[in-house]
Amino acid sequence: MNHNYAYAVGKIRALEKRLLSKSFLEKIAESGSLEAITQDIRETAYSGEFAEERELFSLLRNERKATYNLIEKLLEEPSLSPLLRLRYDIHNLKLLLKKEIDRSVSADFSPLGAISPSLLEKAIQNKAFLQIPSYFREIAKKSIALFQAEGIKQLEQFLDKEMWKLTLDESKEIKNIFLEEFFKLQIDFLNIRNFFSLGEKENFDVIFIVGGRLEKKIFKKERAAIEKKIFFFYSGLELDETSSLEKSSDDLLINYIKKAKIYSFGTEPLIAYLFAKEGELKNIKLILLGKLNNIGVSVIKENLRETYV
Amino acid sequence: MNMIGLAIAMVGAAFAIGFAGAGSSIGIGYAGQAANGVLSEDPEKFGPMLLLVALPGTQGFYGFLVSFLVIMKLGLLGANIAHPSVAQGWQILGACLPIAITGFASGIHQGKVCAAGIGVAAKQPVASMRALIYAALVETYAVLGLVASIFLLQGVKL
Repeated sequence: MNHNYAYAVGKIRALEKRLLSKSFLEKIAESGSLEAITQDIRETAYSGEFAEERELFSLLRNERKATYNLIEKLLEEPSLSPLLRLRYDIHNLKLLLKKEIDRSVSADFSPLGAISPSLLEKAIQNKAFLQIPSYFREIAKKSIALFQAEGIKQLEQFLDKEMWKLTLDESKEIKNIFLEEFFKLQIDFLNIRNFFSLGEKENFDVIFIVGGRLEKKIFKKERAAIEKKIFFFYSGLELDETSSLEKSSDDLLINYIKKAKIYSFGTEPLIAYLFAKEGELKNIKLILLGKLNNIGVSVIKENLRETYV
Repeated sequence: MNMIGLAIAMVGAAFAIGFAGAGSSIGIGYAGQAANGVLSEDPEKFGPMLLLVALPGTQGFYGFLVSFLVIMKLGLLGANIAHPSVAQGWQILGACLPIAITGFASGIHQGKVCAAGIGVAAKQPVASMRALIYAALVETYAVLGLVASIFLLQGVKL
């Protein structure tokens, strides 16, 4: 256990008190209008100045960015932060390469990546890969080659696999078992989701991501046997529909990170707080989008994810 | 004049304050860092945090007390300095070891318990007293070490 994180964990424990509970989120979901929700949210940790719902969305984006920056500042291991931001770098890389063939693709780059999108763009355009961090260099090089040879779909599959491989390898390298197990859960849920939403022409072997607890051979059995095996590992999963599968897998991830509550030192509470905040922002966004699209309160409440507090 | 016995006894006194003090400072270091983390977000929690941060400091005082008793026994502050035999010197050093060892170990572990308690108090200030009780349980062994050291010192006749 790393005892250097006493300050960081103390700070996080104080911040956790400001996380929104499920009952509070259900209460604001029951609020009649967006104005009422805005008012309720304003009374919480999201007390920044905003008036319209559009500003509320940007407030959520800023909150996510501030949380990543805070965790980055608190983490003493320099390799951990890029690891937590990797999926945003991958998202930016995909977007950049898509833009290469279609200029009309909206440049909705994520500001959460460890590598700035402009630097990444310059590196790709000039083939000057030395400008980007070494862990990302090979991925970027291979991506361009694959994109030119096989197209965007293969590139996306390649990048998803590379991202999970890198995250698992790095978390093993830094001996962060909490993070490694968390990534394994995510890989399993992604594989399960991909398997049950597989199109007729798609080959599961190609999209299967290695590294999770569920091996590829499990998915080659009969459906009943597959479900039995999945329930053996993840009894709380609901496999009936895509939406319930997504919700139940998110709930299991939140339940997993709750283990960090017993740690008084180490990186675990920081990582858990980051993902707890991500979950909270997802829930608020879900309520706002539900209200904007006139979705019923009961449906919104059903879809609310489990919360950390 | 036996200076070796005196030197061994003085090493004992140094062990008592040195090790117990080191345990306390490490323990306070853990608890203090955790408390500062909480205060950086919630400065009003200073009160509930204070006792939890201060508690691991007691071992250092116990070590100092035993060390002071040895100094008095040897008459180091007066004009008549005692000159214990080598055997008596070892007896004094042995008498200092209980507080040196228990003070060092319990100071560190109490600091960890206090840091965990600070995490609890950050979320539920009313639970800070309960957290303090757990931390105080670690104190028991430092107190036993102190009492043992005092009794052992009483048994050394110069």
